[in-house]
Amino acid sequence: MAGDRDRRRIFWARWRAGRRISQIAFLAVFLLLIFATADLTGAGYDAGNVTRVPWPVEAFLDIDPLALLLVFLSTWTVPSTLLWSLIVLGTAVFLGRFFCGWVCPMGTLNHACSAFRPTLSTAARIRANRPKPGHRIKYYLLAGSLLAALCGSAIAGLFDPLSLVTRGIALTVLPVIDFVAGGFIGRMSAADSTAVQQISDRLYDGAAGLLVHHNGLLVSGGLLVSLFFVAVLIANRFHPRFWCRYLCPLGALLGLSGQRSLLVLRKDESKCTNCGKCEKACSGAASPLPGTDWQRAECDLCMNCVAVCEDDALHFAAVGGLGEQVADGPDLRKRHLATGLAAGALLVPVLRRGGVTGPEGRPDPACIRPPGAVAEEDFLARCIRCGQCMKICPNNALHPALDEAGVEGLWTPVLVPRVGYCEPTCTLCTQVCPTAAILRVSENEKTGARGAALVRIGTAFIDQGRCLPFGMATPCTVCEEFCPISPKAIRLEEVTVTVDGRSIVLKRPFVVPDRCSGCGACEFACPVHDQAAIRVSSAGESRSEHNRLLL
Amino acid sequence: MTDAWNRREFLKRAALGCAGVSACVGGACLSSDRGRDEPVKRAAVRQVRDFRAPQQEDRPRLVVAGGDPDRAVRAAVKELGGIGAFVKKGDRVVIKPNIGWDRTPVQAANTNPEVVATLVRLCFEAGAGAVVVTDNTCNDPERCFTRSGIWKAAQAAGAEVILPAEHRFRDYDMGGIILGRMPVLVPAVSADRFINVPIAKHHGLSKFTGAMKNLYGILGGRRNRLHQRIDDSIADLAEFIRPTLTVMDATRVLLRNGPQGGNLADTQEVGKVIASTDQVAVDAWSCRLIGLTPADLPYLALAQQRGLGTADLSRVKVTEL
Repeated sequence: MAGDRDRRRIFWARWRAGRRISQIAFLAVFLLLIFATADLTGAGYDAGNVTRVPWPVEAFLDIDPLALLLVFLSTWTVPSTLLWSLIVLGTAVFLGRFFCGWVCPMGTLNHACSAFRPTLSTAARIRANRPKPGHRIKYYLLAGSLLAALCGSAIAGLFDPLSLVTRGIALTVLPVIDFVAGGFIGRMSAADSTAVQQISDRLYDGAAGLLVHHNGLLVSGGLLVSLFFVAVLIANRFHPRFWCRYLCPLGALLGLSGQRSLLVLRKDESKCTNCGKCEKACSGAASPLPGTDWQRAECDLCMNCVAVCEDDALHFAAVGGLGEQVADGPDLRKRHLATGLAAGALLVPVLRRGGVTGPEGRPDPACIRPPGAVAEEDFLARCIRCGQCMKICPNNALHPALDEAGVEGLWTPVLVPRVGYCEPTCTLCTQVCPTAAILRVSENEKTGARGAALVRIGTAFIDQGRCLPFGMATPCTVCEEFCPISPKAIRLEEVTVTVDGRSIVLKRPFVVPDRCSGCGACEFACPVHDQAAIRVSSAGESRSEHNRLLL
Repeated sequence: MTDAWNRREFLKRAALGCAGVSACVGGACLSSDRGRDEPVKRAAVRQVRDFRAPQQEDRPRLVVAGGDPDRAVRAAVKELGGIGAFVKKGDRVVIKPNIGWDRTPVQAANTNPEVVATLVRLCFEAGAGAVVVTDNTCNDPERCFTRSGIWKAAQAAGAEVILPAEHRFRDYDMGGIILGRMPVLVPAVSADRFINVPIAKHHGLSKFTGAMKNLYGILGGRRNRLHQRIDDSIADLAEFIRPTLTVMDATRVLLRNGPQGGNLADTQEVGKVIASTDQVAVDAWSCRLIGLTPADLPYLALAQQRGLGTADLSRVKVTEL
């Protein structure tokens, strides 16, 4: 019988290998798509090429059932691209948390951080891999998330694992690589040797576009994003797959969907020697040990338990039959669930007190949204903070908000013109939003060319005290020169002033508000370096009924 | 945790930790750019990058040629004595178009890509060893190089297209009246020959931007401050760079809302190319295409005073083909 047993072990070990290959492949595709979330430029493109993204770079967000549910509950509409997520929901119905163990890039990163040279000793790992009361938190978080969505906020996108990993890689890992690699290459290029400089040029050309973004991505709002992401990864060292077991609302959703799944872990208690290998290897804390109840909603089908069992006591099989020791779903406490729901329901009105939305709301001048963004209330109902728009922005103009959009708007995208302006003919961010928080906008709408209605994200205001021709009798027309709208939204008025008997002809800028798109090119280019003499605020944004400037 | 560390384990971990921390600190030091502020030796005399070819005639010549871009450029250069008079075998030639803006060729904010490509081919026909096409853009460099069509056209013609990455700038003490120490795009000035290929455009402040103003594109840093004394700074630049040849693209010109335009109504088809070794004369002649006269442009007079060229068109031998 030993031969038979070995064959079965090999069989399950192959399934485990298949799971590993699947994880690596999906992570690789995910990373490639993140790299591809960029402007397509180069010698291969024709003049005037409307730089578009040819691949579905937001694919991993399109298959996110949590995003679908959040947007559906908050807006009672469904962005058609998110319908792909029904496939994932479907696999969950039949296979439980298969997605978590085999596909999810966040799960794979957590898995890798937990399993690679683990810090915990064998005994500690076995203890850590047993079900904990805390593992229920994710269900309460899911309940709160859905109720918050019902109250009109997609704020739970902060905890969506696909959103979290996209944001984490795009706004944390890549900028750090950029900073370190770019800085290193920069030092090389400053060397006193032509040979070293040439090597640095080659390195830069090799890295450019792939790793090194030519103007960096580090801003204040990004720090919190980084801390959160790094904390999630580090937690794995103390509690394997901490995020997936304790907090992940998508995992909770998939686990609940799979309560009638077709696969079940069969346990043969008579063969079990209680060696504990299955518990040590379990990635979901799902109680694989014979004699305990298998936690179906926690199992991510990683195939570790069946592959490590040397006693032939465990195997996966179709549901129905002998040897099923299955828990009756997650053991949720009604009071905790009620607390979660109440928290979700209270969150939105509490966070919105002070008011950035609604007719009485006072929009923050710094809350400049990307072009094509829907009205603020709808925006907060849709934005899951995935960071795709920020990653793709060629000018590094979009950044995760800190408080510009109120507390609720944490990490939603805002334009920071001093760092980068909205490129006049670029429509990339409008192409990648998975939840239709940013709607598609054409090039002509962005510049008002060919009679298209101008899409405005704000309006430029001149600070006359700081403006050189106004306050300092010094010639300058940089804002007018940089204004990409034609006819210009910034015009010049010629005046002559006399200084010490010398007459100086000045061209003083003024803004033509109905021409101004709020792109921020003027603020970006203004030579008053610390605080620009012309600044964009959200006033006049065309998405808002209330934040209008003109009649 | 049940297994306590022994001494060896402790030392190992401590050493690893120290190595990690010092790697981070080292990385931070490496990536900070402190080293960049090293003092640059101050030049005793005004720095000049003189790329001029030896000239025989006293009176500057200027050629205006029409037709499609390729034919016009070839005819104009031929009339000036042929490309062989300017580019020798094995020369490294820099071609400096205007690639300032995220605009398409038809919007006439950047040099026509065909004009650039023809010049690249001409240089190779004269036996040039390498031809570099570069510029420091105002909008995102990659978009400007792509959407202007110059990246594709120049690369197809065999040129090395160099984007203005930050590390390609070095501080030069230019010793001008306005231009002191400025970061300069090194590949733009590391050459045997320099061909300036501007486009004729309106400009809100300097009124006309053509050959001399196009040289702004070799500067980095905070060049937006130069607008405070734009005429002097243009003259300074023209003094710093003495091009081998200037070929003005006036196939399509920008009449208003310069220098970036954006509206087809602002442009006009002219179908001309103007070539000369005298960049001041080129500007003096070309500014009339957008309805100005040389007297409207103070920087032309400044340049003439400094002996950089001829603003007075009556003293220029103009050949219209």
